[in-house]
Amino acid sequence: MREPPLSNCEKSFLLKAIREGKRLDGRETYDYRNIKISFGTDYGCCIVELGRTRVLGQVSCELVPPKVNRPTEGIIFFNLELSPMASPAFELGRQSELLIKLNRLLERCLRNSKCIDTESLCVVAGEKVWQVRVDLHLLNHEGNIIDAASIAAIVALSHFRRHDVSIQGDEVTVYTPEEREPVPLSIHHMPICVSFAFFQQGTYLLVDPSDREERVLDGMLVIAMNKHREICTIQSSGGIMLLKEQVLRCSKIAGVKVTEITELIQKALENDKKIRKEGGKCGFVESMPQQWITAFKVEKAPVDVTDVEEKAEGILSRAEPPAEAVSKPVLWATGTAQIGEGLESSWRDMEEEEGQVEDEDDEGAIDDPTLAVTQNIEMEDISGKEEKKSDVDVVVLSDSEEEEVIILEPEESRIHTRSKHPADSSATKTTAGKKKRKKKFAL
Amino acid sequence: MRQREVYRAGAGSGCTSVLLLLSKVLRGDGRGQQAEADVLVVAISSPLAFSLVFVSTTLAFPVLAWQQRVLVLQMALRAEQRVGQPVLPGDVLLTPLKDREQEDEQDGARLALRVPSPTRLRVTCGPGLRRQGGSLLVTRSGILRHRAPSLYWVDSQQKRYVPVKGDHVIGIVTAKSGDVFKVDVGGSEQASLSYLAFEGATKRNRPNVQVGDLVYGQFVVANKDMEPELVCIDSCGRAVGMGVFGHEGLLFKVSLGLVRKLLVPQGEIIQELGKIYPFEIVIGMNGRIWVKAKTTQRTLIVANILEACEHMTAEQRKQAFAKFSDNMM
Repeated sequence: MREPPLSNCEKSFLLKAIREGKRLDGRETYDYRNIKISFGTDYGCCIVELGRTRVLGQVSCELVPPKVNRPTEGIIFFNLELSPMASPAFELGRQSELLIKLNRLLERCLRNSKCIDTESLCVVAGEKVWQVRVDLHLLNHEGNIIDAASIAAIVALSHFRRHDVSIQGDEVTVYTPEEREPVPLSIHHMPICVSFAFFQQGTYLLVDPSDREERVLDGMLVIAMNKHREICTIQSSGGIMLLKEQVLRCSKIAGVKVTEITELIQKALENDKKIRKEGGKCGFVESMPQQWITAFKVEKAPVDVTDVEEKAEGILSRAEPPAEAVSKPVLWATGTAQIGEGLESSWRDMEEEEGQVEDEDDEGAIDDPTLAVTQNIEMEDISGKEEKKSDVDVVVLSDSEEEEVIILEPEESRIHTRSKHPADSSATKTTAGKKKRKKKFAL
Repeated sequence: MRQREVYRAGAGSGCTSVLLLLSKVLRGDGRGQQAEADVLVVAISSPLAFSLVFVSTTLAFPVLAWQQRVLVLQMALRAEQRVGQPVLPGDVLLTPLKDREQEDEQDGARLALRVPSPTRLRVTCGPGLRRQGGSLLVTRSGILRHRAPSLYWVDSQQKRYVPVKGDHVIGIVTAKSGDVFKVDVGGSEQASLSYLAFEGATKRNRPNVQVGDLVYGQFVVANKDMEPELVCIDSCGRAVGMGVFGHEGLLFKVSLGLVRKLLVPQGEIIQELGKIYPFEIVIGMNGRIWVKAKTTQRTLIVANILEACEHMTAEQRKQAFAKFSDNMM
């Protein structure tokens, strides 16, 4: 399916907003969207969310013979996939231009920067090495895929643990996770891509463009950098001319952003490690926010009111009567007396206290919206019942006027013994007829 | 492809009927033939019958495995019992009973004496429900809704729009070809819009529509076999608010559930928002909303508030609006 077209009004509005320094989601020019990192139950599995862009990273490894020209180096393989689930515009099984571009950029960012020690992945030189495969799946597309994908890749790689291997003579033993604790990959640094969007031939610049901003931009600049401010890759696309100052400014911004993101990643990794150590719950299910469509619905609970009065009386009788506070007024001066052990005069504080009380009331109202809703529901129910009741009442009232009453009464009496439903329907019918007649009279 | 077959044991059916049903499931459908289906779904409404069937199927499991069939036991409830609760695709609901039968069901003692009469209620299936045999099959996830006497539908929060005849939608003109415009409405196929379907348009006097413009129109043809067709006039040839619009302003997409929420006749959201400051709004049933206020800032605010309204209760919304209008002062 084709991507839905961008209308003229959207285009002009976006450009106007950018000129005024505003963005659709209320961010500032250099702001990133919220980054959320969650880990799966297995090692090497993570989901990175950048706003609503969402990338799943999964690392796996196997033992393979090495490449002939590099007998002592392990192999790392990156694969980003854009499924139609992310956006209907993506087609399955077709290498689109965008996909090739993103895959190459990822490889340049992560493999060519030598962030992973490939030598340590060698088991027997020239015979067996570990092949590490990083699969990245775009789950939802809301702009800036490359940043989310690069974060997901590096997070998944640093979270991954491979089986431990030992060599004794010619014998190679691969241990299962139960026998020996799996070992992490050795990662030298964390390169992270930061994208910049340029509008109006480079006049305006935005960090982390959303999908709609991506559709009106003139050019893109992607800088991959690690926290030591070493540029790993830089790529400019879209065919705009950038000045030296602009690139330098971008690299400065990228430095700041990369430091922030790296800190976030490390915090997330540590947190996960801690939870796993303590044997707590981990996995995607635990990190999902509970957004239920029925969150505000509360089931009606029957309340037992059979002998409430007796119970209440029993409680009252058992309870000790409140101590009678007999206080003697003390006359301090003429016209000023004190009763009990009074506190200091709080005359001036009175107004403030009132304000506080009001605030508290407000908060109470905020705290239980659910309660209000249930009340509403109940109210509706009751009103429905009342309507029915009132209908019946109308019938009774108009009895004296109409002849049909004679037919109705025995039916009603029979109804009492059997059930309500047919009664209601017949009653309402007759009332409807009567109402019409009444209207006629009124006219 | 695996076929699915639903067997059902009605409510109040005794032991014998349950066992009869089970034997039917295992042997075939009683005509000496084996049931064709690979997957058998047994929809059972009463808890007692369910437990009975469950026990007997566990015993009969080797037979089923030998026949390479899967038996899915499902505790099916009557549609009216699930109203207001979430349902998922694949759920089976039993068609509601008439009032008389309901009352019989409650009164179990009389059941044996009464001859069972086919007193099923005639049910109208709305969106998200499909009739399957004697029961209703849910095809969308959402909350089951009911309107008396017998209309049932699933209120879903989906985002994909499927054209429906009579719906008012916002479309984007994607091409001009001969005497029709191609309009993207967010459905699987583009809709066509004749250049004569505008107010005051004649062969001589063509409407001024450019590619990329927004149009507000109504579907006159929308079915699964034909290209949907939009018009921007009513049957009397008047525009009544439809036509090309929006040379400024912001278009954004929300879920279809939110659009329905905004468009309910007694909906207060738009009115409350309008009290804070004036703005223009066009809402299409296809989930597109166009807003325009005095400034860019205000337009953005309206758009974000409307998006946020989806998961707010009336109380929360009122508080948010109150807070917001205070800030504006």
